[in-house]
Amino acid sequence: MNIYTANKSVSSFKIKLKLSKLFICILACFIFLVNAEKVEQDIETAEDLEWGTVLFDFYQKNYLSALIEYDYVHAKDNSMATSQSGRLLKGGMLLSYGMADRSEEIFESLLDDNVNISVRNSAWYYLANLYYHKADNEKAFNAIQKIQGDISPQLHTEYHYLATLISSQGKHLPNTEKLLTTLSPTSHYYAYVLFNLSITQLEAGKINQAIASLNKVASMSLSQTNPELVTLADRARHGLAQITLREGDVISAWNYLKSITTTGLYSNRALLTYAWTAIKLKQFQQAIPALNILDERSIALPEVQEAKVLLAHLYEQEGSPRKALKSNLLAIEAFTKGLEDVKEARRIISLQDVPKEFVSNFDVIVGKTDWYAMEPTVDYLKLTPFVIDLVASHGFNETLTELSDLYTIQSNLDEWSTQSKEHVLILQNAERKSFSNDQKVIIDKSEMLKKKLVNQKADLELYVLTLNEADQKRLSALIESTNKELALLDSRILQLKEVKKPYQQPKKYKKILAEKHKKIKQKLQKTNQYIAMLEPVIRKLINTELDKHENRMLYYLAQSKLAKARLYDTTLMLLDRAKKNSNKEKTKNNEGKK
Amino acid sequence: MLKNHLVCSISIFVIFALGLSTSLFAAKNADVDTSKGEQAQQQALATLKSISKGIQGLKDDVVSLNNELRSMEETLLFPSSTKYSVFVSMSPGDYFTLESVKLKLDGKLVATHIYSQGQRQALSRGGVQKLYITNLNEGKHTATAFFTGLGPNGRAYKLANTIDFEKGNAGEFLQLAIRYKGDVQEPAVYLKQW
Repeated sequence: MNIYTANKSVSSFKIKLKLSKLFICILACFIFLVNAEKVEQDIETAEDLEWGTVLFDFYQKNYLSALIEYDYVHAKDNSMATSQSGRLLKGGMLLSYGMADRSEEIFESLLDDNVNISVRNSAWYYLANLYYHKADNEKAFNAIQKIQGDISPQLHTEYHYLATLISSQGKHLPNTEKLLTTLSPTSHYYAYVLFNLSITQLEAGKINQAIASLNKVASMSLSQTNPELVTLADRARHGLAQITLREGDVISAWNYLKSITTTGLYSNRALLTYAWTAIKLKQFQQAIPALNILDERSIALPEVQEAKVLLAHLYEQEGSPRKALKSNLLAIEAFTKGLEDVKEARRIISLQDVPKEFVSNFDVIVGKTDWYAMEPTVDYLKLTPFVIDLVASHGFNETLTELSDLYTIQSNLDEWSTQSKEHVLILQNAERKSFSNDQKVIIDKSEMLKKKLVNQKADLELYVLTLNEADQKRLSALIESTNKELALLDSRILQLKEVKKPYQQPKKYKKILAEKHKKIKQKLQKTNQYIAMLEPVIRKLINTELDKHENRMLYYLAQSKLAKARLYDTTLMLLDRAKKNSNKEKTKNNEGKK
Repeated sequence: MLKNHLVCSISIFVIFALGLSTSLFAAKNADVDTSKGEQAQQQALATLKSISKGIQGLKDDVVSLNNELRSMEETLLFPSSTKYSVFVSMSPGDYFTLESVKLKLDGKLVATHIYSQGQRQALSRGGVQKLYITNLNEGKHTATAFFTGLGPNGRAYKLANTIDFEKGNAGEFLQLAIRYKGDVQEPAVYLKQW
């Protein structure tokens, strides 16, 4: 689960959560385990079956479908839907679907009712979660304080996690530490809670405690194979390196940096810090391999851009002008290519359906993009290396989530628009339906056919009786299935005979349908208006991000060009000096001969 | 010689001067970029805030409208006296990886479905899939369900079961359930008429 909402960033740390943070937002921060106990039960009533359809969509995170299904079963007075836990689930789904105001109403109404402690505590938990994500820390803290007594076992760990987050956010450090002692170290959340605590400790100036907490996180994850925990450990090590570097303890920082994986989420930053630390330690040879690894990665990464310039500079300092020159030339080539990529990304984002495609394929894009970008990407995927920083931002995430919901609504309403034509057709056909003589003839014919078949079957049964026992057995299955078929036929003929006239739809349906179809059009229009408002916002955010990339690369390109010119000039000076010395020697030799 | 040397020195000076000015320019640019980025973020959030209530209202309306349309459509297509719904459920457990289902009603293939990972998980957690809705007249009928999937140790399974039932004059349900038999947790199909 991607629940590590380690959403505190300390500027000195310089380790912002990027993709991980994005996942949190996209996967709708809240985990609802309401009614999980229901899962263990068998279906006992028809109501359970219908309620199960709500859960089917809910478990797949199709919140729009789940809410529609919920309203549908609720309209049928399904007891699960009207129950307290059912309402709690609805509140959760509304919250996940970005309808915070409605969900708040439901949670608050649950608190008004005479509900059991578990439901009450769950409602307070979700309210605390809601306020926390609205950045209303005081309300969140008050809500979490209201949880007393039994809490649903499914929410137990989440409650502790949220409680530590809220306590951290509200600067209630002793509370966080106390809560940490109640959480099992084997819990999935323990490492994240500890990590968040360390940041709070750092903010409070408790450096030694922060170091101890981060060390714990780093060591806890050693035995883990869970990639998320390994990433968290890397993040902790990088944080430790930054703290120790700030304190001037370069050797310790060096040791922390050496333990960070070179392919993990934090490897770009870690490799660059590693190189800089090596330079500080005057171990230039150690810095070069780290920079070489970075040099092979995507030019869209700021660390890679810096590494290219730094590598050339390092060669120059080392006294290898040829290597330095080569590195500069390669850097110039890479920056030129990078600038072309930015231009291409701008062209792509300006295309009509790109925001929609981007949103629709977001999970796939994020899933497939190796964030350290070893593999080049194509088409609109080209955008992704440039927007890695952007996707972690609050504004981009929120806009993307709303836009994603609007596209889902648009597609839903488009589908209903198509269906509305069929509705009209069904009504028109129903109006035209009438019982003609033909139908009566068909029923009579079927009746006669049935009688004929019954007679034939009777003959067959008599014939079978004349056969030996083995043959009788062989034919008994055939007779049985014929009996079944005849019974079905009989049942249908009876039904048809009883029908006096074809079913006619009530006249009011036409009017009702016309109203509904009008509503579809109105809502679709409204949806398109909101989409038209948000698409330019996404485009602007991406373009602003591309500006940043472009300017940075232009700067580094200029640096590399200057370094190249400097190296050429230095070489010219050296050649000139050598020529001068050679001429001097020649003159000296000639004078000696004379 | 002196001229060459002078040219070199001047050009190095110019390069350093240019470098310095580029650095200053870049630093200034970086600041401008950051502030432009923050401004764009703030604008995005402000736009969102201004339409947030409207979007929430729209979502609410769309959920209600969907519900109304669905009820209306069902009324048009499936009158309550003939409505017949088929559901798929699964007992919790990882003993069977459900791949597909086929449903035959009165000998005719009426529904097929191939399951995604998400759907499989939803079923095993207690979700119920509405597989098929149709109109059935009163009287006797037969339903046959075929399931394919993988059992323990990746063994391929084909499961089937048939039910004969009599449809009454109200809407009815058929449940196609996958359950696990005995200690070996062998998957089996159960059909139940509700």
